Amino acid sequence: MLHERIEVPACDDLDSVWVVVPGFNESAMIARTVRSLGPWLPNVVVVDDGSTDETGREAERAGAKVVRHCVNLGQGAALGTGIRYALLNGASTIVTFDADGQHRPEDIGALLRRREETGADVVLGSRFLGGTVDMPASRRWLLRAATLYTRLTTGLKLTDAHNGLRLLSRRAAAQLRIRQNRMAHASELLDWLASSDLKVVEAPVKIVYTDYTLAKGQNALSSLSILWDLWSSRLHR
Amino acid sequence: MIRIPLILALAFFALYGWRQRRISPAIGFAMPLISLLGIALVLWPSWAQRAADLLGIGRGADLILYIWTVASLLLLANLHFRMRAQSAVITTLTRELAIIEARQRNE
Repeated sequence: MLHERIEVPACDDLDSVWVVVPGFNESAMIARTVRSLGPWLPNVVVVDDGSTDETGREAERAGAKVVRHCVNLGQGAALGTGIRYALLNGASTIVTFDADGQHRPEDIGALLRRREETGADVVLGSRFLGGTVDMPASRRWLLRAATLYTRLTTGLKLTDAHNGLRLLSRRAAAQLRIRQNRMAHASELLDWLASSDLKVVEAPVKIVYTDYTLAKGQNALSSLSILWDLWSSRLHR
Repeated sequence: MIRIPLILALAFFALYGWRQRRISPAIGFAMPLISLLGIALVLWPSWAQRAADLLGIGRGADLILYIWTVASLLLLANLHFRMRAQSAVITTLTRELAIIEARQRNE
């Protein structure tokens, strides 16, 4: 039944697929996000990144396993924690998924299928291969600029540079070290992938924009902060 | 007489910078270099004027002021990098604590 809904390749064992959902003050959306994954994927871990609201409790009530940071560290750090927790629990495949409801659970099936077809270690979701709903023009241009920057700095021929929906094989996840605690982790990940021997492919996914997801997302100012984090980190080990 | 404490202070900074080279290679090499240059200028003050003439700055004192400004900025940068290193330690601790607590809760 699970395989029918999510349309994953027959050989994929969903029990060893772990979905990592980082969340900070997401009590309004987290339960809905977890429940949307729950029927298909038994292993959903929400990393409550020091929320001051009920994010952790809501996620737990909705059926997720919850790992709580006692202080807020940032999305990159939360992903690192969730990935480590999943690896310690025997995950063979790890999917990162945003808490704010912008990702569709059925796209996890698309990532799994793409991995199965290509044998890739890493599958990155691309909204520019898939589609978007209600994406503002300013966000489109910002993402296009980020993609161009990524192409120029890493050499990776990607169509979408900052999509939080990704799949990592156990091999890839075990090698990954996220040093950027905050939003620069997405660029850091791509830098690292470009220098690794891992096979990286993209899969079409759809992103749904709402007032809520837009309020939580990045803007031009935060992209400057990301650039600063990336460049300054190159000055020290 | 002022020369001795100045040389001692600059030697201290040279040593301090060198010891930071693992955390920040930029500081580890720049700070000793600037400090040693400072010691040379304390011992032979006329060098500052000669260097300033060579660089077209005008006064030796101005040259020293510029070097001082750069050194101060380097120190600030070093503090920034130290904070980042501390932040990495806090991240590791928070992560391990969270995972231990979650595994105990879910057992």
